[in-house]
Amino acid sequence: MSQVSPSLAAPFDPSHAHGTIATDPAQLPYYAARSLLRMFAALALSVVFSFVYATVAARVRGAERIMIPVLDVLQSVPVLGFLAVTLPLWLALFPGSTLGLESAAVFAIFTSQVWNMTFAFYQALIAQPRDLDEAARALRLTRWQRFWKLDAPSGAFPLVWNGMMSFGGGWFFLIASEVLTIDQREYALPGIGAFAAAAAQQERIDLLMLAAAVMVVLVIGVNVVFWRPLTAWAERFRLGDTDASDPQTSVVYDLLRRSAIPAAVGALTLPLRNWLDHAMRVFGRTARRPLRSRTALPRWLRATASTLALAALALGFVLSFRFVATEVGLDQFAVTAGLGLITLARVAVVVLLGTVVWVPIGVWIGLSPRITRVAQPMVQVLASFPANFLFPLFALALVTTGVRLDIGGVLLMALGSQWYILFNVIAGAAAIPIDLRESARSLRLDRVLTWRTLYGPAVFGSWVTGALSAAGGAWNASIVAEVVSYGDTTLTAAGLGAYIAEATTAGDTGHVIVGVAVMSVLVVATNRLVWRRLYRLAETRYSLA
Amino acid sequence: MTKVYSTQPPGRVLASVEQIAQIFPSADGGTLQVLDGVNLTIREGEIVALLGRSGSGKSTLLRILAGLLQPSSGEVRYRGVPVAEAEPAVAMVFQSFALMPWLTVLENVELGLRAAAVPRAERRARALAAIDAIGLDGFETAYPRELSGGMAQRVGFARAFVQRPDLLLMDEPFSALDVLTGENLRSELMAVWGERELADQSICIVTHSIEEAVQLADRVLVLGGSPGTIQAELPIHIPRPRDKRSPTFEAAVDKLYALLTGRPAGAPGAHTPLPGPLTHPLPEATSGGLAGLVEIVVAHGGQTDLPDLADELSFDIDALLPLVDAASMLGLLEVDGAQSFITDAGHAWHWAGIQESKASFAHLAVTRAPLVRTIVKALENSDTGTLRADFFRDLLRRGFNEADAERQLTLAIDWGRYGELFDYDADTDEVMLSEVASGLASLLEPGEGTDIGEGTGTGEATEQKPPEAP
Repeated sequence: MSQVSPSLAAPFDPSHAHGTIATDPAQLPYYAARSLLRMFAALALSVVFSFVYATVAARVRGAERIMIPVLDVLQSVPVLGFLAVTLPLWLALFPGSTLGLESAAVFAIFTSQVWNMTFAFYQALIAQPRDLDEAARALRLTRWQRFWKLDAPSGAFPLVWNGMMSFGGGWFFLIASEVLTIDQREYALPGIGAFAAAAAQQERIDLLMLAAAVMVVLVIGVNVVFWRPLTAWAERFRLGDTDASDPQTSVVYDLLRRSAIPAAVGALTLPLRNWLDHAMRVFGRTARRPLRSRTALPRWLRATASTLALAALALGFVLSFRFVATEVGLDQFAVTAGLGLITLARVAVVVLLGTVVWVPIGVWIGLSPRITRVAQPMVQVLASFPANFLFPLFALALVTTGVRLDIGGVLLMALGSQWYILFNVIAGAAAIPIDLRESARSLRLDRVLTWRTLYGPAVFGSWVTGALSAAGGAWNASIVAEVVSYGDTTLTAAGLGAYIAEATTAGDTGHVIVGVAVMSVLVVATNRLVWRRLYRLAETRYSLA
Repeated sequence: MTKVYSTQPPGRVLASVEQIAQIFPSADGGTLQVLDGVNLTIREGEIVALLGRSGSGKSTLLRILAGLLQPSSGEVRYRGVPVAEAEPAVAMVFQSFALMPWLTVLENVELGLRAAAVPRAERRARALAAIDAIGLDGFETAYPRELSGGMAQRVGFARAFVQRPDLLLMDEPFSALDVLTGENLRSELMAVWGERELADQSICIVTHSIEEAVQLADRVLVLGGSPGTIQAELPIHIPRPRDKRSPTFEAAVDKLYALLTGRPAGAPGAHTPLPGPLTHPLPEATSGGLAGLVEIVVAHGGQTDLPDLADELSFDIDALLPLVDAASMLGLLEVDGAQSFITDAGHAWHWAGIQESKASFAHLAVTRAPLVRTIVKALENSDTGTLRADFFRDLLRRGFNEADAERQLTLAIDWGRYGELFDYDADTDEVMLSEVASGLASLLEPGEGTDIGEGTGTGEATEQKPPEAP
């Protein structure tokens, strides 16, 4: 890693910066390391952000009424939309160095991971068992101790699992953000995604396949060396139901645990931890009284804060509206709304196709524990593998077969997102109680009736979760899937994704804002109108609990 | 009825609460009063038991004593000083153990000492001594989930003892354990307590088990009513160790049983308001449970001693009393002190066939269960015989919190379905009248409105629809 970091702050001179990087296979390990570094930097930032944001939202009275809706909105903004809108900001922050581009890339990955993780940690804080909260207060823990002995551990299990899922999704945005086009100029960061883009540019299928192979190794490697041990470790932070039927295990974790490393690290950091424990007493003790009533801000401060927040929001809205009205023209809202509906239709087709294809297969896999054990990790890798890596190949296929991207785009969007459906349906089918299956068999239900009365209702909840993720993934993918190129050929489909992508390339911030805003509204609207209702139905009618 | 025995326990006053009231916001934006006008003193060296049924506010009172809850009004004093200014040395033992699942036994026991910034070496020594004293030797590196309930609660005790509290507060510490484990741990606790360094340490224990209270306490305070008040105080002057079979022990148990089952003193005769769903909630009992109880009482020759019955079934009173309450609400049983007798209606119900028994249950429920009557009446008065369940939820929220309102409705639906009075459609969330109920309309006096507040004083006649022909 030490070789990786010095060049981070290398001077950035637009006239000399390369729009592409060397496609020398010997450089691949170095590129892979740089990409990994970005991923982990984003993960670390996400964890810190979740800790701070969720804790404030959960502990300061009144804060959650502003902070949680904000989080909800942020979560609905397509990740690449964030990147497109904030890119000029990053470049302005670090003039003359590649640090701006690096920051933009890390930020893109960060935004793909952080909202999920923050929500998970917030939920854990809110749902913290009352008796543990009371015990912490009765013991008079300091606030610092409370966080590390109660808050962080009680949220660790959902945080780790959400982190793993989000990290898998993050690869997609890593690939998408390593090659950026600003003001018609292309900039590439040394990384595996840029390598693949360069290989596609040079029409080198062999190098593209090589990069894909390295990518698979990366995804699996990080899983084996990092996430599996971490989830196995997180088992101890699981709350409630103590006898997990199928606890996560990891060979790496077992090796690590039995080695002398944990004890050595513990001994080495002891002085530091003691010092922190002492120093952080300045934050005071957990009040004996319930947290919420004590940490409440004074009324005038709360009123001022919410007024300021509302004013800032209104000001921002008015300013961007005026900016759009003068720079872009309000008619663009109508144009983008039309394009948005086209992309929405593609998203719907992705979900529909994914459902038709993967629900039966998922149920079949999930009903057999033997197949599930083999298939589940494979699907996990497939879901993590950044589909946009392969977009150039598909572009080539489309060019040679003459299929228009307007149709083929659906395929590209489905490439990465369909796995969420499969993954969740497998889990749902595996959770069908054996006695229900046996009773269906003893009643001699035929296949149709079994599906209608057992499998369908039983996996409905998991399907909703999976389909919602798939829809979100498809929206995100649309920004890179509606404009694809291989060599010198560029295919474009009509749609909101293409609109945003083209505006970004042209460096036209006004159009980007309009596109991203409309897309966010569409995502929020479908969430409210469709997914939330389905969720409620799943919870009230089709829950197996 | 409320008898306060004068007691002269030894020692100075350690902690006291004066005129405590506790009011929680209720589900409909109103308020729910849980405690009212509660006075309590705990002296140095004594063991006080707070006994009451679930919902009597005893756990709330304990949390106020612990400083975990700020009372809505009234004052908590610790050695005479208002608790806001004092740093009371109290420790708490929880029903659910409340151990951090990710810390080992030793780390859990040390946690309170860490908070108090006790130096590392001393911390370790004290924690190990506490672990040793409560019989947890060898479990220092175990995680709570590896422990049985009894062992886990030992950790809870060690964690409390190691802080050397003046006042040890215990919230039903044995009720999550099985009977034998609880018994064993209780006697060990008393042994450890007997060897304590300072004789002026005190215990306040919340319990719903009468025997536990009599076994442990120097003084038992009975909480009850709504809002909860201290209804009686009983000193226990039985030498320790206490023998459960001794006549004095049994006499104390019987006395407390009678205090717990007895109705709170109200104005007799004269102007008692008509029982309404808010003043007389349905006891937590299902139709199946009722049938079981009646069957057992019939098998006992139609009369049984409730403490004996609870003992025989290894029931807590918390599980048995709601059934007894429901049975006496419906007139299936009569309760006198700790004795219960089956009534004629109970006999008839027991010996009837399935259809007859349902009909007689329907009759009893409509005439004697306020919420069931209210629902039937409201459905009678609606044009379609159908009402949204939310209608009843809204009404119930005037007197209950969200969870209790839902529970009341669920109970009423269970009773109504069993008696085939009305049915509930989960899809449409509607309650609908069934045919049987239409025939029972004549049982409802025309004077009663659907108002479910304090019953009807004015007797405004609501229009009575004729029963629909089936």
